[in-house]
Amino acid sequence: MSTVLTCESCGGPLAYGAPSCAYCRAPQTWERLVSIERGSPFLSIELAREPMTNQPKSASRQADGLLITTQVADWTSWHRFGPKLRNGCVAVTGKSLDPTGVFGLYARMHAEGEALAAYELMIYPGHRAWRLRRELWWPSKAYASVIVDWERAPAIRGLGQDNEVELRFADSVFQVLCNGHRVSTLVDASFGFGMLGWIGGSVGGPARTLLRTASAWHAR
Amino acid sequence: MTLDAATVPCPACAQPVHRSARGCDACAVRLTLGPDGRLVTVLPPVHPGEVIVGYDLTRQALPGSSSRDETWSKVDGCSGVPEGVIVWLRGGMVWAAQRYLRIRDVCVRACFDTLDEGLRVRVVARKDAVGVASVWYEMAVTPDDRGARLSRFVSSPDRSDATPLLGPMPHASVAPRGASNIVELRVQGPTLEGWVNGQRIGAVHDPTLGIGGVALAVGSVGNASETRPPLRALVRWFEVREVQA
Repeated sequence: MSTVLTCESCGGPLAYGAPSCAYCRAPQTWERLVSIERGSPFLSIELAREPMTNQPKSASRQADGLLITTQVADWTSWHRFGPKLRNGCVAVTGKSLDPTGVFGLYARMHAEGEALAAYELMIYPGHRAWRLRRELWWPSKAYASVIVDWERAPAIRGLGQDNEVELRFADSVFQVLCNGHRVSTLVDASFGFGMLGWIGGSVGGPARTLLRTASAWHAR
Repeated sequence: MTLDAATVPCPACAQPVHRSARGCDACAVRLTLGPDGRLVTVLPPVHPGEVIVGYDLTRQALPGSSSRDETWSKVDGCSGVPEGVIVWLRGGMVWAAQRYLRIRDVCVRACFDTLDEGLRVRVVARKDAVGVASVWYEMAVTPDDRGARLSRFVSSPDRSDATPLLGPMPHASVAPRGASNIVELRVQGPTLEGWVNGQRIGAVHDPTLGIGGVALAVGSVGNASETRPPLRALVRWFEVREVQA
């Protein structure tokens, strides 16, 4: 079991902020600051080389990564990977080649019949900004609720430079990191479980984005 | 981790776990060996605590309504009667949602009688919006076939989809049409329990949805039609409780 958010009395899994352990009923206090760290790695994908089923049509392999070419504004391509999990750390590296390019990752992606829902973390290197949303979509239509809208963070490098965007999550606690710097800690309990994914696309105009790697670690 | 000789699928989430594991790293469920040597989930019992809000519908309006007598559209509405509030509809589904409560761990229950054929009544927890779409857990009862089910749902203005978690299945504790049923959903962390008339129908571990509102919903099993006679369900009371710490 992950050591993040476990009961000190019985080792059972805990919900963040729970007044007691559901298993042993031991009372819990939440004065501690939860810090989610990378544990053992379980996934490392070189996107230029990794075989991919159902590769998006907008993606093409280059020597140094996967080039996502988005011809229209406000459009994204994505691909899911990894096992389903509740707690973990996932990071995507890449760069935007145009001012309108964005990229990032999905976490806790789960299916409801034909629908999919997930957390989406994106960075917008042209503005050195990031955004976290809950998304839900069918093949023909998508819906979203913004948790943090495009917010500038100096840790994000600008256009044409390599960036690593990372989301660490344990129960309802989320930590956003850019290039190894913790940018934000948030609590959102809406989605609790699912797969991971990468995402690349555009805001406001056509864009090219080059994605290099996708990696994941257990949370500790 | 991939499945090999030392691993088996987690009984809750199907991700690989070691045969001797006492917990699943993927979905955080506790595990133990069953009598046949297979891993089984260990789910903590969910005990109802103090009442957060209760609606005595012999005197009060439905949650989310300002009056006991309302017409919501050409096909649905409600009418107060001495025994409670009759919800009527010619198809689709109507919601009585508690608007001011977003909660993780909760017990929600309702007492109702279906008066006409073709109705399903459910109590809902963790109903959360994503844009104009929403997701939720529901414990539903269809008195016509004395059936019960616990599901995870997603719905938008265009369409809806569901993932069954328990059932649908007939259960002896479900009273037939014309008699009263008390349907209850208890959620604590990833543990969900469905109850009908004081009997536990079952429990599952599902960590997918973590927080949201509570509601009562009445729906028709068939399609909506403005010309068909209204289908009626008498709702007697609705109650929301904390989970006992």
